[in-house]
This record gives sequence, C-alpha cells and structure tokens, in this order.
Amino acid sequence: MLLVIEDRALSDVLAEALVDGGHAIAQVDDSDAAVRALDERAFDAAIVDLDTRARDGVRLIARVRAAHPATTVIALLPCGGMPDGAGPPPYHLALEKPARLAAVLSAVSAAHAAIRN
Amino acid sequence: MRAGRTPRGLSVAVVTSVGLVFALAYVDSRREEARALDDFTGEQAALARTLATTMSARVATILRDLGTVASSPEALDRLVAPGGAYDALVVLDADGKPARVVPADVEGERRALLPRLFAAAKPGGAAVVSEPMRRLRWFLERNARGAAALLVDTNHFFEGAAPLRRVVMDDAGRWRVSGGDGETTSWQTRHPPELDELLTAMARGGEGTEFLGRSSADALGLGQRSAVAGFARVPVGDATWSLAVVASAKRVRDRARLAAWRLAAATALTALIVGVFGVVLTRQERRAQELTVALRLAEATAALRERSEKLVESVPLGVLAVDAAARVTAVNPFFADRGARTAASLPAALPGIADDERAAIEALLTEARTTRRAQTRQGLTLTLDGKPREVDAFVIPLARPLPDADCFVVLHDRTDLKRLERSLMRAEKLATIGTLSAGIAHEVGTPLGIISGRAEQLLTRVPEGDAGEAMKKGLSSILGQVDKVSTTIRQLLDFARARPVTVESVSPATAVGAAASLLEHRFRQAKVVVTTDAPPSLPPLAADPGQLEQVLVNLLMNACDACGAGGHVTARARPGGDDGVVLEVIDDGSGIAPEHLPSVLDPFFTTKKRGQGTGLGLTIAADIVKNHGGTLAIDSAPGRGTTVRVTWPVAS
Repeated sequence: MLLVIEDRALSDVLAEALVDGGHAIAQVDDSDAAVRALDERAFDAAIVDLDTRARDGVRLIARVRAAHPATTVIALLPCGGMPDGAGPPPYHLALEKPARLAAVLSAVSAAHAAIRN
Repeated sequence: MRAGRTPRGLSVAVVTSVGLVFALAYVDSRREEARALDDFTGEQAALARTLATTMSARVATILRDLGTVASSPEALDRLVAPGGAYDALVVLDADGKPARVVPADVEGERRALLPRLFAAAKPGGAAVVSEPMRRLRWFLERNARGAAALLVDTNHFFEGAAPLRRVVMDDAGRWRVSGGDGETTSWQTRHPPELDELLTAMARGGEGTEFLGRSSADALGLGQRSAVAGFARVPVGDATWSLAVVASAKRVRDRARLAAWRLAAATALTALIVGVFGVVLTRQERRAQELTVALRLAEATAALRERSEKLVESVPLGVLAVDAAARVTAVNPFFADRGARTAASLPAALPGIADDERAAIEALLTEARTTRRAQTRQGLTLTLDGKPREVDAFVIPLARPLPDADCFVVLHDRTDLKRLERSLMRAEKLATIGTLSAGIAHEVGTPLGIISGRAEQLLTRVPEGDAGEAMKKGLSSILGQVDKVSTTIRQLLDFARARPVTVESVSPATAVGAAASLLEHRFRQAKVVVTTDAPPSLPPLAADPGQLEQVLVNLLMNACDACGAGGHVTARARPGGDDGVVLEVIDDGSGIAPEHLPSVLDPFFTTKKRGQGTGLGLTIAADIVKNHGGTLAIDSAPGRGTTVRVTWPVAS
C-alpha cells in the first residue's frame, strides 16, 4: 500500500491505522517520490491526497492509472468534494476529508477485493 | 446674415432702377424734343401749304364776287394773316345780313360777332374780330355789294395765342411782317441781317423750312427764343407771293421741357413707387424672416413640448404638476396607473399618503418655492396601488411659473431598485461565502482528518473502567465536533456552489414521503409528530429530484427544530391552479417574530441556538425553488407556528 500524502501527520495517522489493519505501507509526500516508488515495486493500492500545495494529484493519478493499471487508486478529496469545474479525477475509489479510519480501511479492503476478483 | 443682405440688395436694385429710369427719361425727353421739333416744322410746312393751296384759293374764289385779289392784296394778307383753316363761311349782303352760311349751324356767340365785324369794316376794307377767348377769329372782307367772312380756329394750329409771325414777300421782293393779332408792318425792301437768311430763302421761291436763331426771332418780335419758319409759294391773283409762318420754338422747348418734367415726374413717381415698394418689400421680407424664425421657434417649441410630454408620459416616475394654491393639476400616466389623480390637494391626489409623508412633500414645496431651487427627500414610503412603496421625492420649481403649475413633484419609486440592490448584495455575499468556504475547506480538511484519525485511534486503546468511559466520551465528543465542522463546511460549499438543475417528472407524494422518511429518526428523537398529506393523483413536478428532496428536508428540519417535544409538523401537497402544485410544511412551533421575517431567507440568519444551525437551510431551499421557477412564502407569527408554502411548477 502506497500513501502519497503531503501532510506527514495525516499520513502517519492513516499509516498506523492501515498497519494495525495488517497492511504493508510505504509513505511518500509528493508525486515524484510516488512515481519512483511505483517504478521500483508494485503496489496493490495507492492512497493519493489531491489536496496538496503542488496541485498535481490529479495528474499523478492519471499517470499511475496509465503506467500501473494493476494498482487501485484511492483518492483523498478535499473537504466538501472536488471544487466546481474540476471534474472527477480517474480514481477507482474516493474518500472525502476528514475521512474516518473505518472508511479508509473499508476502501482499502474494497481495493483488495477488486484485485482478487 | 440673410436679413442684412436683402435690404442692401434691394437698395442697389432701387438705385439701379431709378438711374435706369432717369436715363430712359433723358433719352426719351431728347427723343420727344426731336419728335416735337419734327412735328412742329412739319406743321409749319403743312400750314403754309394749307394757306397756299386751300385758304387762298377759296378766299380768292369767295372774293371774286366782292373784288379782285389783285386790287386788295392787303385783304388777302389780312385774311391769311391769322392763319388756319376756316371753320365756317358767311356771305353777307350789302346790309350786313347773312345771305349764305356754310355750314348752316354757325350759331350763338360766333354768329353774334358778325354784325359788329361788318360794321367795323368799311367797304373795300377788312376787319378782324376775335371771340372773347380768342380761340376763334372772324375775318371779314367788305365791298359795296356785301362782305364775306371766314371763321378760323387758330387754336387748332397754335394752341391758343402762340407766338407767331407771318412774313409775306411779294413778287417784287418786298416783305412785311404781321403779328398774331393782325398787327402788320409796312412793306420793306431791305433785308436786316437777322432775317437775311429767311428772306433770301423766301426770295428763292419754293417751299422749305428754316431754323431761326434767337436774334432772328427777336427781330420778328418772338422774344429771345429760337424760331422755326415754314414757307411756301402762294398764288395771289396773277402774282405769286412767298408766305412764311414763323413760330417761336418756345412751344417746342416748352413741350420738351414739359416732356422732361413729365418724365422727371414719372421718374420721381417711379422712384417713389420703387422706393415705397422697396420699403414695403423690405418690411415684408423682414416680416417674412421674423415669421420664419417665429415658425421655426414654434416648431422647435412644439417638438420640445411633444418630446417633453412623451418623456413625462413614458418615464417610470411619478410626476405631479402643482400650482401655487397647492392643487395637483396634472398627473402623468405612470402615476395615474398607480392611483394618483388630479385633485385640490396633495392628500386627495395621493390617497395612500400618510401625514408625515404629506408634510415632508409640502415642506419640500415650500422650500422649493422660497429658494427657487430643486429640493430632494429620499426614503419616503407611499402606498401606491395598495402596496407600500419606497420613493424618493424631488420638487422642482419652474423658472417661469405657469397658471396651472409652479412646481413639479417627481416621485421615484425605488422599491424594485431596493429589492434588486438587496438581491445583488445577497449574490455578492454568496460569492464571498463560496470563496471563503473553499478556502476553509482546503485548510481545515487535513487537520480535521488528523484530529478525527487520532481520536479514533485513541478510542480503540481506551482502557476499560470508569476512567476509560470518561475518555471514550471525550474522544467521541471530539469526533462529533469534527463531524459538525465538516458538515458545516460541506453545507457552505453546497450553498455557494452553482446547482445545475436536471429536471425530471417527480411525484409530489413520493417526494414528500421520502423526505419525511429520511428524517423519521430525527423527529422521533425530538418527540415531534410528523404527518404527510400528498395525494398520489397530483400532477408530477418538474424538479431535480435531489434538489427537491433537499428543499423538503431543510423545511422539515426547520419545522422540527421550531417545535418542542409534543409538537406537530405536517408536510402536504395540494393543487395550486395554473401556478403548479403547492407544497406546505406546517408546524405549531414557536413561530417567527415579525421583525425577523424579512431576514429569514438571508444566509446565516438563524433563530436557533448557537451550534444548532448554520442559517443556510432556508436560504438554500429558497434558492432551489427560485431556480425551478417556483415561489416560496412564509406565514408565521409568534406562538402560532409557521407555514412555509412552496409553489412548484408541474411537468409539462
């Protein structure tokens, strides 16, 4: 499981919850590191925070979907959803901040189930 | 500019005309003089011929029985001396009685002269007598057997007693002169220098005309004037004399002078006429120009008046004309359509005006009349057409008061403008909210996620026991507040975002039932009874299903919150005629104070306790209804509950 979250505190909260849930986690805080990580090894799923300073989350998702189709992309949307006119990014699943941990675990489980199917 | 050019041009024309007339007069006078001279000389020649051919022959014939011409050349000379053709012939016997009269109608004063003439002449002599006016002359020649008299009208030739001389030259070259009244000089043989030219011409014989200078005329007793002589040969018995009739050119000069004077008078008269005509023409032209200017002014005034009237008639302003006695003498159509009318006073003209407003306008009128300047008062409230209207009043005094108006009162109805201003302010406020909400959502999403995540983690690690329960309660409270914050942010974003409407046919009964079901748990917790009344037979609504549901949910939540435990809420739908279906949410809760009613649709306005509402629910509902073409009205009073009535268009 790859976490692409700029805010370290949020990334840590989710990482701890996922590790507690039995998932192996890798954490990066920007798109370039995410690309490198994905090139180095395969991930079942990637949780990508779209609410970053660089605003390049959508582009990263599209790139992951194209280069690593086996990886399920879970988008972490801003509170209130995507801004007007942004349109839905090509994610598989989406969570809206502040996402409950249960919701995150549920989404990851759904991603694994999709992979198994 | 044109007014100044025309009189100058006219003056030039007049001067030119007068000059031309004078020139023509001068040429004509010269021509007249020449013509008169020609006539005169021709006349003289004709006279000489007449005397030669007619008179002398006839007199000679007449006197044949009285005596021979040869024995009485002087008689012939006297006969022909006055000149002229005879008008009558009378033959008298030895006693002087007329034996033959030709023509026979010689009567009256002329005939009465004959006895005196006959008596004056000795036998073998002659006599001449003139009638009193000296126009007619009798020439009588008498011998022993009687006399012959000729009546001659000398005026026929000479226009009365014209200066005239006769010069007779016998075949011996002797000559003598006789005057107009019969005076005769003696026979002379010497030619004085002054008459030498004439006498030489006569001595040559034949006929002709001679112009005589002043000295010649003076020598003949014709005065210091030139003269004209016509001469011809006259048979006298067996001899042939030369007879010349010399007339002063005075008549010619006089005729020419008279002609010149006539022409000068005509010229002056013409100039006078032209001048008068010019003056009249100038005045007429000036008058025409004045009339043209007046006409243009009148046309401009009429156009201005028409434009002003149309402007006053068409402007969306109330306009009243008020006279000095405060009577409302005219009302424009815009205001008349809203109940205003002409009347003897302002209150009568504006039935909906309150005392304070009337006093305010009357004060403006007084101030305007005193200062002669426009006066303004904003924010007056008038009841027009049964509705309260917010108006600005302007009182404009006329610089030139009219009999029926000295001031105009203009009332600008700003009600709609105020409403538009409020809508604009609300739109601006919403835009600000949207921007602000997006920023807040961006900034707080991550911290809230961390807070809620950590709280959730801690909840899983709370030890059992009382201390743990307290901790769990605290952590749950943290999570609840995070949820509340995130919910508020989502509402803000929802409120600020444009809501594209995807219209479908939605059953009112289904929509009402679904909304009530969604909130069933909430009503149960609040111990509020909710009932629905929506017949399935109602026509379907033209609505975005999600947005219709949001409207009903918001209204039901407000109704639930307004009721205490034991309260009742009814959601119902009924036909609304041509306007659509009426959806009503009725509660018997606390109601809304009248002072709060105008604000309940404003964003963030709420009467709920702090933390219980964002003040956006009713605003969002009204916005959605408006976007669907419907209306939302609120009927509420404290202690009586609230009814929110939504009229929703039906699907076509």
